[in-house]
Amino acid sequence: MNNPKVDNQIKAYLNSNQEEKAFSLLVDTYQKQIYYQIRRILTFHDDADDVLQEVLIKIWQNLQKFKWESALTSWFFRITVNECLGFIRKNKKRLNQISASEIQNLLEADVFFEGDEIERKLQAAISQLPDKQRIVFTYKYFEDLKYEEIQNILGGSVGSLKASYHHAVKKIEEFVTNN
Amino acid sequence: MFNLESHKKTIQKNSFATPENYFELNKEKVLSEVRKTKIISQKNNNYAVYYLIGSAAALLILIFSIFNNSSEVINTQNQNISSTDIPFDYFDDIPLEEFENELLPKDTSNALTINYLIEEEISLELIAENYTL
Repeated sequence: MNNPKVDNQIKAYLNSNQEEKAFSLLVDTYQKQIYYQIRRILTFHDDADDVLQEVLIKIWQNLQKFKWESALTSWFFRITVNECLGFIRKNKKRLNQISASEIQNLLEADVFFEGDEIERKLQAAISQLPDKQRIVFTYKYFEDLKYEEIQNILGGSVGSLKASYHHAVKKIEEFVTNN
Repeated sequence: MFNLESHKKTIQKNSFATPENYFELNKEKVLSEVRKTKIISQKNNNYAVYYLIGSAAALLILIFSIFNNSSEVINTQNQNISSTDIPFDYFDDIPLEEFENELLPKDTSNALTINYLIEEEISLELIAENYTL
C-alpha cells in the first residue's frame, strides 16, 4: 500500500541527486508488495522473479522522470501490470499449454507454494482467466484496491472494471466448486 | 458452492513462499544491475561527448581547408605574370651545357643511327621523316 512518509523521503533523495539512495529505499519498501502482485498474476516463483527484475529496472530507469502527480504506488502497479502482460504475451505458447489441472499438480510439487488444496484450485482458476480479468481480480480481491485506483492503473471505465471483476468471480467460484 | 468472499475471511497466511533471503539477495542483485547501467550510461554520455568533439574538429578542419584553398585560388588568379615581371638577367646564371644536355636525343641508339645517316650523306629531310631529331 501507499506509504506517504517513505514516498516523501524518496522524493527528497531524488531532489538532492541521491538517486541510488532513493532507489534503495524504494526497493526496501515496495519490493515485496510488487513481488506478491506479480506472483498472484503469474503463479510461479521463477516467472515472478524474472518480471520483478524487469519492473525494478524499469522503475530505476524512469524514476527521475516521475512527475509526482499521482501516487508512487499507482505508477509501480502500472509498470508491474505492463511487465506482467508483456511476459504473458512473450510466453503465450508455453503458458497456454499448461492446463488448470497441471497447474494444480505443479503447485502441489512446488516448494515455494504453501497453500492448501483450495488455494491451489483458486490459483489454477486465476491462471485460466483472460488477462484483464486476472489483473482486475488480483488487485480487487487480494490488494483490496478501489475501482478508481484500479482505473488509475489499467485505464478504462469503472463500469467495465466492475464487469470484469464480476465475470472473474463467477468463473473462479464455478471452477473451484466443480473441480 | 464455493464462495470467494467467505473464503477471503478464512485466508490466514500468504501461500506464496520464496527462497531463503530472496528479497535481500534480490535487492543486491538489482542494485548491482543499476550500478552497471549507470556506468554504461556514463560511458555512452562520454562517447556522445567524444563524438561531438570529433565532429566539431572535423567541421573546423573542413571549413579551414575550404577557406584556405579558396584564398590560394584567388591568389593564383590574381597573379598575372608577364615577361616583364621576369628580371632581364634571370637566365644568365644557368649554364648553357644544361640546355645542351636537355636538347640531346634521349634515345642514344637513335642518335647514333642519325649520326651514321648524316655521315652517309642522307638528306636531313629524309632523316627527319623517319626519326625524331
